[in-house]
Amino acid sequence: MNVLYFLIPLALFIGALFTTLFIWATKNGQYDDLETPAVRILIDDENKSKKRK
Amino acid sequence: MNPMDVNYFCPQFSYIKDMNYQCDHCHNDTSSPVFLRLDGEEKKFCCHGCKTVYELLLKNNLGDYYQLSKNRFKPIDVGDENFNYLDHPQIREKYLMVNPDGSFSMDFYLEGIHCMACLWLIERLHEINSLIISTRLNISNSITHVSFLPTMKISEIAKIFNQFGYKPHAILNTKEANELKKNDDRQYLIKVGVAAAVSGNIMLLSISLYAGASGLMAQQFNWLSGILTLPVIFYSAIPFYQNTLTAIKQKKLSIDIPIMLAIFVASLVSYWSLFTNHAHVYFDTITALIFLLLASRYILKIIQSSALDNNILSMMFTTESVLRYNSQKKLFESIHFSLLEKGNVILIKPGMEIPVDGKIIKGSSFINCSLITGESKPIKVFPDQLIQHGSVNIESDLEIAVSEIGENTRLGKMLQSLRSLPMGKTPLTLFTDKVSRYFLLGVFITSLFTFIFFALNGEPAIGLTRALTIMIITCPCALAIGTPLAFSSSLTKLAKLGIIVKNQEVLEKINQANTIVLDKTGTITEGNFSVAECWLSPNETDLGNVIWYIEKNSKHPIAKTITTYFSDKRGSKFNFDLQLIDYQEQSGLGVSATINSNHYNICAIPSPTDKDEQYTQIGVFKNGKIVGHLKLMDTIREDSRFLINKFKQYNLTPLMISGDNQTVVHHVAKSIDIPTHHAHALMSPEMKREFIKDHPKAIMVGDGANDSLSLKESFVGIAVKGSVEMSLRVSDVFFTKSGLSPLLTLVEVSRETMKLIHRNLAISLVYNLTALVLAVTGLVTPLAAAIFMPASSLTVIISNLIGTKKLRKIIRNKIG
Repeated sequence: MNVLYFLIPLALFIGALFTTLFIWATKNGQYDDLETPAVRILIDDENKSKKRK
Repeated sequence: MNPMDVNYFCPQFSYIKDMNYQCDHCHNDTSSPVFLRLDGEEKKFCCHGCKTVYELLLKNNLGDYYQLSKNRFKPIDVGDENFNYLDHPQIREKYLMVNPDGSFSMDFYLEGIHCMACLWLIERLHEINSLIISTRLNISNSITHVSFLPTMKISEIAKIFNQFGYKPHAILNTKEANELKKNDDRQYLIKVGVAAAVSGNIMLLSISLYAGASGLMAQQFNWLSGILTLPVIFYSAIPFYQNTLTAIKQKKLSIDIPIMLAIFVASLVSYWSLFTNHAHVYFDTITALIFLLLASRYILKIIQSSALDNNILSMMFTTESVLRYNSQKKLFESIHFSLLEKGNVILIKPGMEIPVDGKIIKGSSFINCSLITGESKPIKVFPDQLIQHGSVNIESDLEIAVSEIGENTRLGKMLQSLRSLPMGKTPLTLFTDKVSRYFLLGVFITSLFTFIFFALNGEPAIGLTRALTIMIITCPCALAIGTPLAFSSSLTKLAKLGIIVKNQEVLEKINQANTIVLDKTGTITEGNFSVAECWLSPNETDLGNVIWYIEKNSKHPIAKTITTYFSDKRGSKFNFDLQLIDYQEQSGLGVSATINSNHYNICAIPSPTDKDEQYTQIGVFKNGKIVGHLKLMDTIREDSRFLINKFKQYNLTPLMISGDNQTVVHHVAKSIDIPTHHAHALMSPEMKREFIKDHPKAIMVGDGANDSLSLKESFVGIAVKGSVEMSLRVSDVFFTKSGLSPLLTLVEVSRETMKLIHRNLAISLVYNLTALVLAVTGLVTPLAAAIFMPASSLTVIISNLIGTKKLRKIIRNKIG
């Protein structure tokens, strides 16, 4: 059970890490618009590649 | 007056209706298509606008647009606006943003965004014009962010949007307002995230405690939980504290108060237990409660923020450009309305609405003040007279010195007082607010009594636990959240379908209505008259031109038809300097004027023979004698009959009113199953208003300057596409699509929304009663309570998202 003294702080550290990343992403506007990117993905890129050729 | 024994001035032709073409761009039906030959194929379009867009798309390799969107409706009437006022230097200050790399950016709100094809098209504008760097659209609020090179004119950008059918409105770049809101939302999300992380980890530790961990390990876990809870209590839960403070200041009971109390008491007890080594720790309960509540509120925020913004709505109904006198350049230039100041001199052309209160400096004309005075007869005005916001200039140019603008004008003040109910508070909502307050009081008292009861019996710990559970688990959120949420999501859905509802009260009212009063022209009929037959007395020279000259001043569909008909036949001999004296228009009935001391009267006349009853007959009188006879035909919309019968099924009695003559009105009524005693003809705007007054619970559907009086008076007023700006101010609903089918959708959505709200209330009632019983008898732990309560508000939110079966069907059928 002594391993818990290592595991729990590790778990908390990882949790804190991800929370920090989440805060950073939110501040950079990642979650501002949830609707449009979902639709944008569905659009094909063929035109762009056609033109580049 | 026998049209048979005279020479016909113009060829007789019958109205061809059965040849219907579908426009290759917008899929609208048209009977007079514009053709284009491309690669051996012949394409047809309903108008030059669609043809131009089609050519533009093909030229730029964007033909894929047509693969993407199968369900397009014709974009909102684009008109011939020029956006030159956007190039004004003052505009650039307020609306333009400069990017670090030297390019410019600007935000526009675009009308008519509704699908993936729109997104695709808008984001490829840089392929059409190389001065545009990029465009990025946000579908939920229809705002597009455009980056462009400094050499590009803003008006050009606006023209491109307009050309494709998306009417653009420039958005102020008030960085503070926008950034503030964005920051607020982000901060909220971060609070949710922190609460989630902490409560999840604490839960891991708690499980071991529930599983039986004890001794040193239990102690250490408790301490850890206690420390981890701190950021949640002091950071994530701040919104609750703020709301409670506001509620206390306003001396109102709100749901946040018991929550804050629960958090406070639970924290106190938990930390005290921590330091005194007791086992009554509630850290998992506290953090779970805060997290779940924050999460449901965040979801609520997102749903409500994509609802139609009040600011955006008001943008659609206000004038944007005015012609202001520039004393340096000595001419009138087009500027944005917001730049107008007191003392400026503006030019109002015929047909334009007067957007300010002011004094006439130069010019005299006829104006229509029906919006203000209620009288439809035009009034003659002269220099030095005061003129009011809301009147429409009819005859000739007027130069006006501005004295009051916007909300300070008489009309502005009047409109403000009309908005008596603040947005979001319908009678039903106010009722549920009251109920939830009594509910909270009841919960509070129950909680207190439970605690006292157990304390007196020597078991204060159990009493505390039970009291805590009671306060946590009971939730009037369904009352406070469910109703406004149902309303706002219905309003948003309707807006996506092209039905713009100004406030939530309208949905309730529609449910209570028992009659529908329909204006004939433009609503039941297509509104596209055409001249079927025409007879002009050969003794009159230039009669066609005279008729054109007089009729062009009216905005009525009949006048437009007559004007178009005669404009093709105008000769160059016509003397345009002829003075039009004493122009009068009796809305819906006819026009009259004096030219060269001859008095002309062009008006609706009863049909001379029965067999012509489907025609609208217009008589042209000179000095009292008939010199011309026009037969106009307006086709009845295909779905009118079906929809009228549907309304009857919903217990809405359909009534028809019109300025047209009796025979036409009866003919139309018969074709759509309205009994003749429910159809009224030859009604002037004043008569229509009196009619509405006799029907206090009627929904009025109307169009044009004709109906603004009655729309204002009615229980629920609906303005139909193509109506004058005045109608938009006085009505509660605006249809951007033509026809009666939006009306059916509106009625159905209103009914279903009320059903949904009642369902939510029922769920909430059942939940709360059960929860209360369980809590008092101690069958639930505080932790379970902390989970159930947000779960219940989440259920209400989900219940709203799911809607009713019928609501889902409506949305699925109509969008994309």
